[in-house]
Amino acid sequence: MSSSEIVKFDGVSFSYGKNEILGNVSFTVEDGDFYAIIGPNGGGKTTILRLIVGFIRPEKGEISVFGDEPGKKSSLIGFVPQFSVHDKLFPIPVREVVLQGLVSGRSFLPFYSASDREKVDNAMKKLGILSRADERFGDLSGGLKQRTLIARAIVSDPKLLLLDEPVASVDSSIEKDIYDMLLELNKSMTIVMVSHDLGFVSNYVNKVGCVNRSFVEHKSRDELCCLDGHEHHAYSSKTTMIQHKCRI
Amino acid sequence: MDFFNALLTYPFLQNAVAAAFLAAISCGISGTFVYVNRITFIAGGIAHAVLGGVGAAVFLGLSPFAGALATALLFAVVLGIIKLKATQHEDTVVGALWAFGMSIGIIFIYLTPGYSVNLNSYLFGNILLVSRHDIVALSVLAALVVITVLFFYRQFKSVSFDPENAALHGIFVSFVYILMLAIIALTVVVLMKVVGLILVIAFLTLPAATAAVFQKRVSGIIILSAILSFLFSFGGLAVSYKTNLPTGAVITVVASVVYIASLLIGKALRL
Repeated sequence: MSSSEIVKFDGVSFSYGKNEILGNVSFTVEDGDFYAIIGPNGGGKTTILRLIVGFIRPEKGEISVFGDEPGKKSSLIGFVPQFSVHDKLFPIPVREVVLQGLVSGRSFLPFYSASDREKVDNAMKKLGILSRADERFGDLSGGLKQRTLIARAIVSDPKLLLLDEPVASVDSSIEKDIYDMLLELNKSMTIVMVSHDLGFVSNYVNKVGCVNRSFVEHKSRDELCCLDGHEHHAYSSKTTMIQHKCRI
Repeated sequence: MDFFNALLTYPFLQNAVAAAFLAAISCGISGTFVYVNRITFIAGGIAHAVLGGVGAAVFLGLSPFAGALATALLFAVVLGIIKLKATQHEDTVVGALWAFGMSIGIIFIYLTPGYSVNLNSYLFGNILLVSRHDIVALSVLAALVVITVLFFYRQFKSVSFDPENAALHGIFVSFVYILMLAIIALTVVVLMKVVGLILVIAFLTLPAATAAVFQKRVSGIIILSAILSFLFSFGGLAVSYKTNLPTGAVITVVASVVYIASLLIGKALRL
């Protein structure tokens, strides 16, 4: 492994039952990348994230994360799931959601230390949600929920941030805010995010991989634009282009 | 004699209040995790399957309490595994085990020669028959519940809210989830004495659901739910004493009425 390799997929295949989701996928995420994985719903984007964190294992091929097998270096990873997976009525305020970024298998007794609470306050401040700390998570808007989950993911100061559809279900003005914030975070950590829509993404990321069972990597935005032919192409057209490309 | 004078006079009423207090502590904790995890059906499955253990223990000449405890823990593990690994419809499997446990219990009790203990006391509870010996056993169970939850509180909350985040942070989610069900199982055995197996579900949900109208944190719900559980039991005991109605059922009616009232109050106050 080269010292700059953070994530490496080498000929990875994965199926749910008889349904092959990923076939012979290879790509590398390097230190400092802001990597977008784009593809249609059901194309295997979230599966790639779940493979990286070690929730599932590949059927074929090798995955290394920080030079080790997935799941071994979890403390270096921050993961932002889609907020729709959480129970809206769960009685938990924003601060406690962010505190869960510091929980571990050795977290015994109900109390967090003063330094943990300070880290949480700093993360909330960075994401602009400190004033909402005592509000119930389920009562927040989509954009604020997403910020809360990002704060939870970064509170442990990870080296790799994974995001699953971070702008799904938020309106376009919030979308830009979230990407601006991620760009800022990218100065101190590698980011891999998945999205079903290229949208704003192409303006922020330095690499794009499109997946729809197979995987095609575009090492630079320029290359992507060359494929497309127009840098400011309509989003839907770009997505169509990528899906078409992925079926090759 | 009014209820409060009777309470000062009769040891059986003092035992009943002590049992209500111990049940309230266990119930406040376990009920909250049942509520936030939305696993009322699983808790109900454990509660009803316990009758199988009671029946088997009686048939074998063992303590029904020990039979209930062993079965509750066994079903907690089995249902936990089903919940985590289910390839079948989870509710179908839980429903099947629920009915299986009860049926086994009824068959064993039927087969027990000369069996004279009233089945109703397990199904509907009889807090007025709690002995000093029972109080000691209930104290041990309640202490186990409190100590375990204090120790694993952060992990329980993390697994309840977002199991994937918990797993990512190195928490052994399957173990913590099954441990949580084991705590609920211990509470079921405690509640069996107070309200009976049939009404356990009500007691594992109504106090926590009532508390959740007014509290927005898991810890707040646990504390308020424990207080409410005790008040429901104490109030039900007083009403039951006055009216000579079955205590377990009266306690559950009190809890249900307060729950409905809390929903209306919550709506009126926009909580």
